[in-house]
Amino acid sequence: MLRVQDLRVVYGRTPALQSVSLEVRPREVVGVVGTNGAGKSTLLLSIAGILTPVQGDVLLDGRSLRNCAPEDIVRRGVALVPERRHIFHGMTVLENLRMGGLFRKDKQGVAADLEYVLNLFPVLRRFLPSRAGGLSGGEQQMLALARALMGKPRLLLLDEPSLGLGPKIIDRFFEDLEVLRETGLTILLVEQSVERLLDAADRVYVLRTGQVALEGAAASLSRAEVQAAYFGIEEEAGTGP
Amino acid sequence: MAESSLRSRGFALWVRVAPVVGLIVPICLGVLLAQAFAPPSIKRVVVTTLLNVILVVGFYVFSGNSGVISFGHIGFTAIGAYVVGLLTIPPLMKQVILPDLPSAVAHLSLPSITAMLVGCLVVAVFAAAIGYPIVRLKGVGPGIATLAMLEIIHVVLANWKAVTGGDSTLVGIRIDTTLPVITAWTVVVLICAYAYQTSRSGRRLKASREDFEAARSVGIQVSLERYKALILSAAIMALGGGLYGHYLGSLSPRTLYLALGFLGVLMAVVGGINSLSGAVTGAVVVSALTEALRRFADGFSIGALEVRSVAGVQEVVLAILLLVILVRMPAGLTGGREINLSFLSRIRGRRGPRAPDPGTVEQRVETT
Amino acid sequence: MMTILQYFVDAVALGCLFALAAIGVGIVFGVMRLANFAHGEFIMIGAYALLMFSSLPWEITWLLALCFVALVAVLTERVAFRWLRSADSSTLLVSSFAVSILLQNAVVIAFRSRPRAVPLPAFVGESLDILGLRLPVVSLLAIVLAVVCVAALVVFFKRTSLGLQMRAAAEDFRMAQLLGTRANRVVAAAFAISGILACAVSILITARSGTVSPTMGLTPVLFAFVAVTIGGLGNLVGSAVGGFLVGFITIAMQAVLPPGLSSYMDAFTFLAVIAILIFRPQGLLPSIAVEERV
Repeated sequence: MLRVQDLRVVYGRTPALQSVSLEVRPREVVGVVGTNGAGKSTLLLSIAGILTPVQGDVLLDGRSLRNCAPEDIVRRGVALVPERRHIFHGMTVLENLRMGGLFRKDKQGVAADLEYVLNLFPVLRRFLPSRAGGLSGGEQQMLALARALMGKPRLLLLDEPSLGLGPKIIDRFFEDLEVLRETGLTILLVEQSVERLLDAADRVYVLRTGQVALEGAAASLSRAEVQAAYFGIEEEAGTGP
Repeated sequence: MAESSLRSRGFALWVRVAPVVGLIVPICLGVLLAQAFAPPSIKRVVVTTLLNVILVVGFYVFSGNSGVISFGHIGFTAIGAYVVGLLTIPPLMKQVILPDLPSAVAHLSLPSITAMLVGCLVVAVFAAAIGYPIVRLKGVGPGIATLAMLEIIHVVLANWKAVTGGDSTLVGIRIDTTLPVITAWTVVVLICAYAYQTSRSGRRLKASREDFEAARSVGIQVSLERYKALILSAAIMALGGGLYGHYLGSLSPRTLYLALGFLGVLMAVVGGINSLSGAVTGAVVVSALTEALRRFADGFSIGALEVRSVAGVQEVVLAILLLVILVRMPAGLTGGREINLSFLSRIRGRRGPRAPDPGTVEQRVETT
Repeated sequence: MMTILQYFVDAVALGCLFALAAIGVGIVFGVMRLANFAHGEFIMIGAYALLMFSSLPWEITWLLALCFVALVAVLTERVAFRWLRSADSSTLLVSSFAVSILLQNAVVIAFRSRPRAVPLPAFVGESLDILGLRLPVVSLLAIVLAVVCVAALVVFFKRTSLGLQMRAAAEDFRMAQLLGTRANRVVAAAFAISGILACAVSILITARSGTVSPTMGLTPVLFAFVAVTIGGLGNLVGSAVGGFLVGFITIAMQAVLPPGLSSYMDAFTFLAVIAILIFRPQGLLPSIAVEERV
C-alpha cells in the first residue's frame, strides 16, 4: 500500500534521512524504531506531506505523494498522529473530533464514525463539551487517535504515541491498536521502545542516523539484534537480552 | 623562519581588514571624484547617500548582528538630531525661538564635533537606560516595543514646546555637513561598526543570530550582547541625526519619523541585513534609485512628449522592490556576505595560512 | 451628571471603534502570526471606497465598500503575503510595512494626497434624545456596528465549519493542515473578515470626521497594535477587550488630564504597551497558545 523509495530529506545542510526505503502492506502493522535524531519523525512528516524530500519518492497505492500538500494527502486516506499529539487545547473534545472529519463529504458517515469512536473510547463521551486542554495525558492520547480515525483513514501514521504516558496507559493504547488492526486499518508506528514495538508489529525497521540499519519480521528478530542495530554496536555472539 | 612568518602574519592581517577596506576605499574614491568633477546637485546626492549609509550602518549594528528587527531605531536619530541641534544653534537665536529653554542649554554653543559627540553620548545613555528589557523580548515583541518607543519619542518631541519648539520646524542650525565632513564621519562609523562585529562581543552576537539555542548552550549571554550592540547602534543613529540636522539647518519631528525609519529598514534588507557590506550596498543602491526615481517623478520631456510628475510613484516602486527582495532574495543583494579582498593577495602568489574571514557569515536556508 | 454620562457613551463608542480595529488585526495575527501594519491602509481604502460609491444610496454604498475592502484584503494576501507565509514574524512585519507604503501611495497616485470631504447620509450628523440625554448617532452607530460584528463573528467561529478550521489553524496551523484544512482558504477567509472589519471602522471614522486622506490609517492601526498587544497576541477576545480599554481610557484621560499633560496622553498609552510586553507578554487576558508558530 505504501512504498517509500530512497527517501532523502535535509534540514538546511543537515541530512535527516539519507536513503530510506520501506514498505507497508495492507492490513499490516509496521514498526519503525530508532534513537532520537535517527530520523523517525522526519520519515512520518515526509510521508504526511509536511516535509519535502530532496530525493526519492513516497508512493501510496502506486501514486506519488511527493508534491502533495498535507491537506490532500489526508484526503487520500492517510492520517498522522504527530509526536506529542497536538490536540487543540482551546477547543472542546467534540470540536476536536469534528475537526478530524471536516474534510469528508459524507455527513452521515461522519456522524456514524463519531458514534464509533465514542464507543471505542467511552471516556471521551463524558468529556465531549469540555476543553480538550483539561484532559489527562492518556485521555488526550485517546482523543488524538479518535480524531485521526474520524477521517476514516486507510493508513494510520503514529509518531511515538507512548511518549510521556504511564505504562498502564501505554498497555491500553496497544490493546486499542490491536482492535483497530482487526477492523482492517493499516498502521505505520514509530516508537523508541523496542520491546513494545516487537510485540505489536508484524514487521520492523530499525533506523539509525537516517538510514535503515535492519529490517525484518518482528517474530524472527531477536531483541539483541534489534538493539545492536539501534545503537550501532557490533553484535557479540552469545550476548543475551 | 622569521621572514615568512612575518609575511603570513601580514597576510592574515590583510584578510582581517579587507572587508572594511573594501568599503572605505570605493567610498573615498567616489567622493574624490564627486568633489572634483560633480555639479553641486550631485554633490548633494552624495552627501545624502552617505547620511543614509551612516543611518543604515547604525541600524545594522544592532538589527543585522542580532537578527532582532528594531522598527523604532529612527527614534534615536530624532533624539540625537535635537540634542545636537540645540547645542549648536547660536544662543541669541535660541533665546528668540525657544524662550522657555532652560538657561543652561540656552547659553550653550558648542563646536559641531563636540556637539556630535555629546549627542552620541546622550543617546547612548538613553539606550542604556531603556534598552535591556527590550532586547530580552521574543518574537514580534521587539518589533512592537521599538515601534512604541518611537511613538513615545515622537509624541514628546512634538509636544515639548519649550525644548523642541513642538510640532513646528526648529531652525537656525549651522549648516556644516559638507562632503569632506560627512565622508570623514562615514569612515569613522564604518571602522567602529567593523571593529565591533569582529570583536569577541560582536562575534558572539552573530553566533546567537545564527542559532539562538546553540549560542546559549555554549554560554553566550545573548541579552547582554544585544544590549551592547543596541548602545553602540543608538550612538551611531544619533550621530546620523546630528549630521542630518547640520545638513538641513532645520529639524521637524515629522521628518524623523516612520517614513525615514522604514526607508532605513528597506535599505538594510535590500542590501542584505546580515552584513556590513550589505548595509552600505543597500544604502548606496537605494539612495541612487530614489534619486533616479525622484528625477523621473519630477517630470521630464522626451522631445515633444512631456511626462507629468506623479507623486507617490517613487514610494510604490520602492515598496515593490522591498517585497520582491523579501520573497526572492531575503538575504539581500550581498547575500549576507562581506566584501572579501583576500583574493588580491592570492593573485600575487602569496601562500599564507588561510585565515578565517571574520566577516563572512553564511545564511542558513531552511527547507521545510 | 449629564456630562459624565455623555462622556461615558462617548468612551463606550470609541471603545467599540478600537475594538473593531483590534479584532481586525487580531484575526490575521492569529492565523498567520502576521502583525499586519497594512490594516491601517485597509481602513483608509474603506474610507475612499465610501467616497467612490457615495453617489449611491447609503445602504448600497456601505455594502459595496465592505465588499471592496474585503476584496482588496484578499488580493493583498494573494499577491504579497502568501509568498512569505513561512517567514518569521519580523520579516512579516517588515513586509506589512512595505504593503502599507504601497497601498498608501497607490491611493496618493489615484486621488492625490490632499484630504477630501466624504458625503455622508444625513442621519449621521444628528443626535437622538434618549432619556433626556443627547446621544450622537455616530456613537450609537459605533455600538450597534460593534455588537453586530461581534455577534456575527461568534456565530461564525462556533457554528460554521470554516470558523472551526480557522480557530484550529490559529492554535496549531500544521495540525489543522494534517486534518485536511486548506491553508489558502483559511488565510483568505481571515483576510476577508479583517477587510470587512476594517471597513466598519472606516464607516465610523468618516462618520466622525467627514474627511478622508491617504495617511488616515496610521493612527487607527497604531492603536489597534496597542490594543492587540495589551489584550494578548493571538487572543481575539483579548484584542476586543484591549481595543475597548484603549478607547475608553483615551476619552477618560482627555476628560481628566489637564491640557498640558493631555497632549502626552498617547505617550502614556505606548508606555503601557512596552510595560505589558515586558512584564506580562501574554497580555492582560490569559490565552491559549502565544508562542511563535513553529
